[in-house]
Amino acid sequence: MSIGDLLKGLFSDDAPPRPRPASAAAAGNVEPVLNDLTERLNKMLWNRRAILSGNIHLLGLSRIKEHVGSDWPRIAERAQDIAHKAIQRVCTPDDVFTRYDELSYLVIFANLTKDQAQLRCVEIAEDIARRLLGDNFVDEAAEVSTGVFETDGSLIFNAISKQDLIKKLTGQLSSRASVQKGSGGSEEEETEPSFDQFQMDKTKALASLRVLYQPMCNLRHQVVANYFAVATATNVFGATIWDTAVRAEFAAVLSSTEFDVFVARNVMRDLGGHMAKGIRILMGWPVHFDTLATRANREAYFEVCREIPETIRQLLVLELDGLPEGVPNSRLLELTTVMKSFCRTIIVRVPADFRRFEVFQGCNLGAVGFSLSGVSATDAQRISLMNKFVEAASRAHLKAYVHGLSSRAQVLAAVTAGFEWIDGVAVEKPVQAPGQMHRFSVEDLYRDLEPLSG
Amino acid sequence: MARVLLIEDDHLVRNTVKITLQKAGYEVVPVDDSRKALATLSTADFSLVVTDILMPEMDGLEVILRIRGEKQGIPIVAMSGGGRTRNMDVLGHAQAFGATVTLQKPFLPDELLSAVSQALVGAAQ
Repeated sequence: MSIGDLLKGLFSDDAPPRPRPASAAAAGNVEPVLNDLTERLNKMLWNRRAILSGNIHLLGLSRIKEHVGSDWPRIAERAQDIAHKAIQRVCTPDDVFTRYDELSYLVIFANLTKDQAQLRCVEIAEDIARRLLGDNFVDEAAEVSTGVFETDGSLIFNAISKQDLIKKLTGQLSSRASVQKGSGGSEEEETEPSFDQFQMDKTKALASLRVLYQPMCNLRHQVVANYFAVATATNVFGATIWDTAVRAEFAAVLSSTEFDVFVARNVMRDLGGHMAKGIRILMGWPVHFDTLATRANREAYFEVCREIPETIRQLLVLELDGLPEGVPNSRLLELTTVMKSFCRTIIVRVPADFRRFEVFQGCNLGAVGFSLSGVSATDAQRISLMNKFVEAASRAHLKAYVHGLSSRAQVLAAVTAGFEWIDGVAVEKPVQAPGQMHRFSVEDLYRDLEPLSG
Repeated sequence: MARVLLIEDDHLVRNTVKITLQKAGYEVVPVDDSRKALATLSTADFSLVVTDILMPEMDGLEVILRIRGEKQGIPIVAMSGGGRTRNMDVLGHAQAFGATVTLQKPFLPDELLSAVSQALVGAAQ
């Protein structure tokens, strides 16, 4: 029996799950959580991604709770919020995570090995501890257990410590170094491997960065006439990451401006090449609020924008992302006015639950939108979110778009919700180079239905 | 007695349709999930399928296409709100994909019963 079958059995109605969590506190009513997880795991299985034993991790907050003591009730909600965001920040659209109980989260990394995923969980735990308690408690905060299947199909969580993990990983690196030495490696290759070897630096980050183009469908005209630049990269663990996850991943080594300049230069080069061939398509690219927030950053970025020929500006859509909560209308007006001189139109990406659309009054925006791939929810909740988003945007007389649709059902829901533009792998997959404008129809989505699995 | 497979993710609508059909003498098997519905349909006999179109994970258009791939003749009533859109005629697509009768939500009990009997009569001819 495959692990996929075990998992399906584990979470099916006739074989209720029997996880034995690391902490006693995790033994509460977990049924709703498991139902949610089941739904998302099914989706993962449906997409034929392999789920391997050792890929399910339980990330706990109980050590942080113990450390905080009687203050815990006061900060519990904030801790959970921070934990949720910390996990969300490092998860790719392929990963799955869900709250397990008050003090723990289940995380499944689709593309990481067991060791890589454990290390990633330790990093998340440390990030949470740092944000809540500062640096002093970081070393003790990690509380990660990894689920492995027993022969009867039950799932057991075994706790791991950061020290053991580092020992194991450095052991692996030592072995590799020895192998290299044995095969004629130089003296430099014999240097003691360390935890730092898993850290990203700017050179590695830039070398790993690429820009792909996500076809975007204009639903009113049922045509793909717009390609949206999406950054993609390989992180230190070898996993492919996308979009905002790339920015977050490299935040420590690449400033927001450096990141945005990299994307902008790629788009300009590719769009210039297309223009030279006589192809005219609209091209979108993101720019983060942080890049435009300070005069120095803004100037560095606009210097690049000034290189954009007028003919290309008419085909550019700039997407402003990362707006801080509570940014005033006057600030937005100021930014969008300057941005407008470099592009055809400006769109703004906001969180899925954003409703303060009145702040965009007078900004002359082309649309507002969000990315569904960053939303941790069931498909039904995602559909509901899409409906509410369009309703709220319409009330403010704004057109709406949504990135990251990953299933036909989501596409259909987005179409009927009234979005003007949609994209995502369920619409069309990202491509290396933008193509010609072409028709899009709902019928196309249903051509060549793959056989049902499971 | 006609046996109806009802596929509807919304609890309230599912119950309302189920009760309306049961009161009219139909045997109704309600399912809240498209995949479960297709599995049920492959193992049991039904006279009719009543399906919603906008559903999570697998929408009703895909359900219709899959049923038409397997059980060519079974009548299908497709129902949808899909009201806010100006970009797409959801029920038109349902019909093009093989729905026997379509029904715009919200509908009255009589409209539902009329759609169901119309679909059954059409299939019998």
